[in-house]
Amino acid sequence: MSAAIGIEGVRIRYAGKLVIDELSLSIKPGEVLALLGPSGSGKTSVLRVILGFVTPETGTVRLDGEVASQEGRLLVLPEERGLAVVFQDLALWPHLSVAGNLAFGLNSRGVPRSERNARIRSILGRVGLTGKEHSHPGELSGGERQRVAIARALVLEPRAVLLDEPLSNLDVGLKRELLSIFRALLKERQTTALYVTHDLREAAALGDRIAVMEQGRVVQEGTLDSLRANPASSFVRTLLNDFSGAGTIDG
Amino acid sequence: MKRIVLLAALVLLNPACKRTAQEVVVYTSVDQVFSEPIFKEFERKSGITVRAVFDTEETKSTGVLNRLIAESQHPQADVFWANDPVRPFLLVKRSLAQPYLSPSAADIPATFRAADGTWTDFAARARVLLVNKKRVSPAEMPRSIRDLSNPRWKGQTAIANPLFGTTTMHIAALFTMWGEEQARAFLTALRANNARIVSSNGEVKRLVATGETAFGLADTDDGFEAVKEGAPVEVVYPDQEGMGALVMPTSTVLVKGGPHPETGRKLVDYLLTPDVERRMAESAAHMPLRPDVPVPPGLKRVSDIKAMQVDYARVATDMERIEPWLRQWVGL
Amino acid sequence: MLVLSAAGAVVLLTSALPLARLLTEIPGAGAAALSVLSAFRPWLLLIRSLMLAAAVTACAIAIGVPLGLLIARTDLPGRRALWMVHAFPMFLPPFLLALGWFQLFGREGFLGGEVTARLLFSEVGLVAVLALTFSPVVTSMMALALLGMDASLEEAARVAARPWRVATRILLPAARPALGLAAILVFALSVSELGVPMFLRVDVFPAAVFARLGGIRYAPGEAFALVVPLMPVAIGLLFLERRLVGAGSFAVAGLRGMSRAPIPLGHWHPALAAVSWSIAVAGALPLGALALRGARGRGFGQLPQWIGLAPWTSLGTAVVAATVIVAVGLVLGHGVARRLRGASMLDALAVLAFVTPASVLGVGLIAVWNHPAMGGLYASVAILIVGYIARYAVVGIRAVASVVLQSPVHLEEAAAAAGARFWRRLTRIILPVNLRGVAAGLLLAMVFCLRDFETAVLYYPPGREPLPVRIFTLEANGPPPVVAALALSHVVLTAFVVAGGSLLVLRRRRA
Repeated sequence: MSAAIGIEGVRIRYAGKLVIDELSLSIKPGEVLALLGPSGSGKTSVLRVILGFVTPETGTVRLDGEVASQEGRLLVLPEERGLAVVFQDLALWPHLSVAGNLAFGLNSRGVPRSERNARIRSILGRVGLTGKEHSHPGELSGGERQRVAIARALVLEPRAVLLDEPLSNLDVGLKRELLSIFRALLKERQTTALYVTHDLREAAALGDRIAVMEQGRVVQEGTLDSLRANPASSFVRTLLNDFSGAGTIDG
Repeated sequence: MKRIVLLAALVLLNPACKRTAQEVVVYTSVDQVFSEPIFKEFERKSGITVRAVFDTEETKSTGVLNRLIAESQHPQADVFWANDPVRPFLLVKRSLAQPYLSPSAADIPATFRAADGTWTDFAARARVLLVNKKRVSPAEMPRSIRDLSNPRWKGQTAIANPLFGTTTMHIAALFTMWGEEQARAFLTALRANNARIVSSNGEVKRLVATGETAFGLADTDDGFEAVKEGAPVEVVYPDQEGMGALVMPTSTVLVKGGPHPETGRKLVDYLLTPDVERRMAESAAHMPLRPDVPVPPGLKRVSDIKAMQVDYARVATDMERIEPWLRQWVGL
Repeated sequence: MLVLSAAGAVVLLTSALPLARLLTEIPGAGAAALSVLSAFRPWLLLIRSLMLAAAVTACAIAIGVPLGLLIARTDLPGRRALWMVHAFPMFLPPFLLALGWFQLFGREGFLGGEVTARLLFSEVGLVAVLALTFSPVVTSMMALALLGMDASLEEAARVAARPWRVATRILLPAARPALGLAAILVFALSVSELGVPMFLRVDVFPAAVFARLGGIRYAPGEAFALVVPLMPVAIGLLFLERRLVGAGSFAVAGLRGMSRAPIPLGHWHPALAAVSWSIAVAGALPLGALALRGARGRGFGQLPQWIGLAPWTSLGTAVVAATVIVAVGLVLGHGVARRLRGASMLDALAVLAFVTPASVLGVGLIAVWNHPAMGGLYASVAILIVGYIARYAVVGIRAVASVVLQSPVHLEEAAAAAGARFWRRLTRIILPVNLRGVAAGLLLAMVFCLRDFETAVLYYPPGREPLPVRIFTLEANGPPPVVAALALSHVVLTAFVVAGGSLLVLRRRRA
């Protein structure tokens, strides 16, 4: 079976500066890959090249085996990739209600009205936002907005969901609560996901596997245990030290 | 929003769609304030809608003419009504004039219409001397434009800048009448006599009215206005014993290839009626060409004066020819 | 892509085609056209024009910078009202204000005499009239930039320094991009201004171009040859803008800073208040003169007889043209903000069309659109709309670009990832998210169309002239009270549009 998302030998340059160099990654269907790295390591560029907002200078991006981007060419437009995204700033559309935010993508993809409404109702129930359908993003609390964002991504039943540090600005309690919701949602739907973060705790809590990025390259890939057993860099070692000191967030 | 835009578009384009309705397009360099009421009267009488393009003060007598030339590939105007008799020749020269012998023009003196019907003149202005009666005694009253260069009046006369307006045509007419040498000598003498060269005929009128200069050269309508305003100004038709005063009729041309030739002819017919000459006399102090049109007090008919017998077509050519020399003379 | 091409096509068709068409006139005019460029006088005029525009810009900055600072950041009394009074004249055709100044300082004006008239009809008068007309551009852009500035920047400085130092060392440098853009805009408006110098009989370069199209001799080839030296000027302005102003150029934000603690003026308070209000009132003075002239000569009574359809033509064409301008601006402005190469090139073209003397664009429009194949378009009001779009497309592009730059790109990207195509993203996300800014752009575009005179005067459809054109044609020997009354009707029309539009724009504010 081909990988849900496959990246081979991708190189990306911004304003002459190399931000991703010869990077390869693959995510199996139903797998959650955590992409872990310090700020400036190129994590977000990986996410953007998969989404199709950035075209790789060299290399290939495949979705379910189909070539989506290749060597400076965008073969599949972002809106045709069947993906979903949760940005760090959430990017909830301020002029649309909660239901409107969820319906937008379904309408774009031509989901019939009855199914659309059923799916919205079901996912809002699942994230505990029943009754908030007609609220606007400006009227919601921080935690509620996070849930709308994840619901908006998952309601599309995308071939994969990409999350770009969605929890980095939250307090510890809220982060713990949302991590467990995310994890449950992703697992029960068998959703393929790429979770970008600089926090090993989040990576460990969500990722089936963790890929560690530094300076535009993947320096190590594996489960938390394999990282522990054989840390490949000082960055990983520092993270691991902090991590064992504080204990896990999620049981 | 969309609906508003659609509605606006409909309202706007509506007149454009009603092309079938009777209308006529006229371009005129006759001041809008005088010409528009005449068009309205025509609309009332004929039921034909007049769509007009007017000139601005700054592009007087040239703006609409240039537009006619710019549009010559696909003429949009049916009628051109010029405020002087010279510009129509520029259209004739470019074969943009459609010959038309209007029945209304039968009683207009023959010198004021083209034999082939390419242009027909009516309602005229003349070039006159405006004299301040307080500064000039009746015995000394100037009688010829040559008095402008008379040393007796050194520094006390005025003319408008000959690069613009009716003054250009007047100087060109002098070149046509007198020939190159005499005309140049006259202008040089003017200079030597310290005649003031001011921005416009209106300015000449003001200088004479206030007595800043003894007399100056301007148009009949300027003089008419000065008298009406109660200024101590006498209007003198120059050279009545000699070559005569320069008469500048307004002129109509039917545009060749215009969109509404039928209504175009009707408008020309109307403009050339005695009634319009009377209206122009009343509202704009234009002198009727016909000897029998009634005029308000103080205004003369062209038949009442001695008019300069000059070929306007030659004036048109001379005007273009002397422009560089005039420019030098003015010092620009 | 299709949408982008459609928007591009509108700009190309309206702006580029007429200019390109005139390019073909040069070989025909041949030696004559080129001899114009080898003569001394046109270059002298160009230098004069550039110097006059520089003088206007300098004066406008001298007025606008302090006034913008006072309005945005101090406790000046009635600063909102001051802003409105001061800004309003910039929405009017400049020659209309010149007409007002003439009623005041002309020889027979209310305050006029020989000396004032001579001063008004000179370079000094031209610079003064244009500087007062355009200084609100500087004031407003300064004020908007300062109001949109991050409060913490200023507060951090207030803790450490006196207000004067805060203003000169922190606020002004931070507003420099806005100032640069305002200066460029004022310079472009001044250098292409035709109506006022013609009215005040000051020789300038656009008048030399106009003279070859609307004046003594009709010579479009020569006129276009004269546009050639303007190209480096336009390109220079564009370069200056990108260089000096950079990406921050569009960052002109809302009014959220109006509620911030203002800087107290202390004992300068009365003096500065008096000076600021004098400047604002001076700018509005010509309108008062027009009103007085209209009322005294019973001009208003004769209005129905002379006004015709002109206000409706003005308003209707402005609404339609502004809508198209903003629609095109939505696509291309978005492209400029997101740095699409095609959009930036079209933007440069739109800037060129804006700076090119309007009369040249006008004759180009005649050449392109007065064609049997175009049906009745040329002779109908549609040609006015085409002309407005050609000249003012840049307004829509820039207005939209400025608001799009301020809205997070993630909002669009999330929509794209969710499967929305470009058109859907544009209409369902970008437009509603930036609705206030786009509405403001629509208003601005309408104002530009309403105040236009130079573009339309050469080809307005017979019998359907916009109000400023009618005022200008009637000004020739027309009774001054009637002309003044007509001018004032235009003022009222503009005031209604600006006031109504502003209410709509501001009402749309979201929590």
